[in-house]
Amino acid sequence: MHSARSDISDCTVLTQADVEAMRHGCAVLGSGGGGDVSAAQTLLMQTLSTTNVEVSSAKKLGPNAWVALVGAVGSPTVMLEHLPGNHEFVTAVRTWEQHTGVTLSAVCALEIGGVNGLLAVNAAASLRLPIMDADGMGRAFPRLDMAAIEGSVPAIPVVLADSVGATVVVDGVSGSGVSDIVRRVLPAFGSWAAICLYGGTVQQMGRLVPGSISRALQLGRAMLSEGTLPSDREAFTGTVVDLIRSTDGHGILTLHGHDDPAQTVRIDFQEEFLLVATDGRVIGQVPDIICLVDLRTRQTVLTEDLHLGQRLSLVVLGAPLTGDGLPLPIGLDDYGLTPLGATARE
Amino acid sequence: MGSPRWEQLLVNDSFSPVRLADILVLPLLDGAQLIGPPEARDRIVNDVVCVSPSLALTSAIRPHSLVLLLVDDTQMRWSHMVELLIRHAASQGAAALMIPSTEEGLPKSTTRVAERLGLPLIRFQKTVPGFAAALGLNAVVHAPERRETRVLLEITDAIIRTDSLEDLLAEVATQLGGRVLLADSTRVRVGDAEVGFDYNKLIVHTRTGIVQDLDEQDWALVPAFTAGEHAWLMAQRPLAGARWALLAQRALSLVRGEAVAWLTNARAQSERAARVRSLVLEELSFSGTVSTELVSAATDLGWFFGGWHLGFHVGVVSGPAIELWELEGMAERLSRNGVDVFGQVARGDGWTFWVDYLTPPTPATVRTSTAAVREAVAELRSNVAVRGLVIGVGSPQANADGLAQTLREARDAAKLGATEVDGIAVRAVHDLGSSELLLGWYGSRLFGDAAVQLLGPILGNPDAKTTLETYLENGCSVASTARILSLHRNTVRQRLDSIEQTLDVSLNSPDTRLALQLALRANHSDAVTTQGHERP
Repeated sequence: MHSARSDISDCTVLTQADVEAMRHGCAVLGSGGGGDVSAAQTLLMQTLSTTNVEVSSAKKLGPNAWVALVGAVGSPTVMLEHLPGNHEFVTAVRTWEQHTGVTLSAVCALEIGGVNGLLAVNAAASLRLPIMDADGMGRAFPRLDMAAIEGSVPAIPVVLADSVGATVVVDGVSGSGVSDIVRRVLPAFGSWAAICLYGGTVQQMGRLVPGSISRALQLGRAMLSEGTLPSDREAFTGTVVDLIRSTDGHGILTLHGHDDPAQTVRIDFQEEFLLVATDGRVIGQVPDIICLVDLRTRQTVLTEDLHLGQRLSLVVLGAPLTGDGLPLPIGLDDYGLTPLGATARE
Repeated sequence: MGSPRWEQLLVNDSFSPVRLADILVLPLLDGAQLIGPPEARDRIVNDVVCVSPSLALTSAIRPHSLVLLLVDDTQMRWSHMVELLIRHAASQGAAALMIPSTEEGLPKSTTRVAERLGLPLIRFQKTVPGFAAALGLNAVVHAPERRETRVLLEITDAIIRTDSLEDLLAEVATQLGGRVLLADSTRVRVGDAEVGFDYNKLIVHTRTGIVQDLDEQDWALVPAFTAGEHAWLMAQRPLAGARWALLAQRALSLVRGEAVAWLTNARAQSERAARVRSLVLEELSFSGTVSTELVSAATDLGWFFGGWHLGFHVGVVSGPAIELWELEGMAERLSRNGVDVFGQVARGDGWTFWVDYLTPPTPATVRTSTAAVREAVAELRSNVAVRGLVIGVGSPQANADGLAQTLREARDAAKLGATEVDGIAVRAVHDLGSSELLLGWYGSRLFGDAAVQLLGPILGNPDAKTTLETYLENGCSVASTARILSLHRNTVRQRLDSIEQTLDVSLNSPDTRLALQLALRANHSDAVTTQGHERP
């Protein structure tokens, strides 16, 4: 089971040879969202052509080492046209250090799922800093306030930076105020920006989801060797026979089984896959990691790339736990869906 | 041959369980859609359970429950709960799941899951607030007789307050939510004429549950028999359940008395009108005038003696007699085509009627009216293909005296037209020409007897009579006769020789030929006169 376990072996160094596996692993942990990882893959390949990245566990860094979360916020679609470079992430981190007066010992991924997982590794390489084997979400989530670290460490100061060096420091607000300001600033940054936030000592950052980099690597290597992953829940392959996309961004996918054509799987999704049920029985729900692999291309599928007739393999992985052993504090209600209750999953 | 579905479902008239079909006909479920196999309508419902999305999977559901998912617009997205609830409800033996309709429609996964787990879905319009719907459904499920009693009470009130049978049946139809009409084996008497079934298939099942499939539609029937007339009160609602059928029968039984009274009154009025018509025509025929009393009675029937009249007479030359209902139907058709018929009278030698005009009709008007009559009469022939019919048309005449004259002319024209019948013959008095000379002879009893005497030996031989008649009517040409009758010329000659011998006449004599021809024509005219009726 690919969840937060302390026995995932420590990865110590990431090299160019690991990029392909990281890419697949981050895509899986994107749970159908997190943006197209190809935007960051090329950049990381280029960056790691001249250097490696040290991967450090919390234990190795020590309790008093300072860490901040890095990533990108905004439109992943725009990112495919306005490609990321190294400058904006370096600027964001250095501006954060300048604003706080703190020198970071390492950076950590804001979000391991999707493009942000690769961008965090790239930022670490560009900064010549280790990357902490952890992340702020354990998978991909659409909003900053969904980070597992939220509430235990203040997000501020939040630094946004773009490729030409423009920076914005957000300070003096908390909670949803941060997301609100960031959202309003993004259009001026061309719809996406590098971000540095949630800084604290390793001890303070205890709620980070541990082992995220190692997990991504492990999943990615399995994808490369097998073309798919063993699912924590029942296996299913099927064909898309119905796809509904509502104007409010919610979608419903219907698949008919290959092994049992009478079997029906329904997947609700928005930015990510949220709920999987077969014949009225829940197989997985957010924060579980729900992944669809295209049987033809052997690639994970984003929600925006779904179409009728696709032949897909369903992978459901149990949600990782936070560093303090708690489940991720995100559920269906965070996406506007009625929660199922404890008796729902069989 | 009753409706097997309804009769199998009826356990006992009074204690028939409520089924989904009985729920679906309720007004509060107008526009609701059942998603499931047709037999789902027969599922028993004995309880109503309301669930909200947040508690849907933990709600207690009893077998045969109708599960109603209550949502309001302020709640979070709930469509993902439906399939989970389908599984939960199906596992508890629920009868069906009711969910509100949404603009998005149902995903295929939901309908597939419902089908796979065997649970019917009902999508209902959110026009009625959820709890109000739940209360209404609960009342119907647990005390269906209350609502049914209310319906019957409304109909009882309608019997008192409505003025006509039409209004009463319309009210019954409203209360039952279906179609209601009074019909006999030939037509709809009261109600929507477009019934949509074959009258000839109206076979009554004699069990107490008088329910009948007609062209795959279920009708509830109650007899409304009077002396000499069999009519039926009928109610129909598509896909209705057995309880509706019972309710419909009770409702129709309530109004049966009104229907029988209406039928009796209609028959009495029809007979009275026929008597008055006959009396008026008798007076017109013999005296040329009509008494004041009959004028008054005729005026009550809508007749008008002022203005101009054009007389028609329809006679049957061969085939069965025309029924009264056919004649009434013909009058309706003529009226639809702009020809208003007055004074329709059955006489011994056919049916006489006339058309009224306020101003003298032009020849074009007469031709138009004649063409409309011919078209309407052609439909009579289409009812029975072997009929031979003749239409006599009089000349336009004014006032009561003129009415008598035009009617006489029409009858005379019909008599002459009867001698040359093939299908439908139309003869107008103005184009009778020299035939008019013969009118007196055709009507003479003396001439008729002489004709029978002359033709006597061959009257019982259809081949001989037809051969002789065809020969004389076609210029005494053997070749033409053979061609018309599809015989060999030698056969025709043999027959003519035989006729000469039998009648002891010579066909070489012009006088003989003329006499025989006149006798044969008189014989035809006599056939029109005596077709199923006493000769006057």
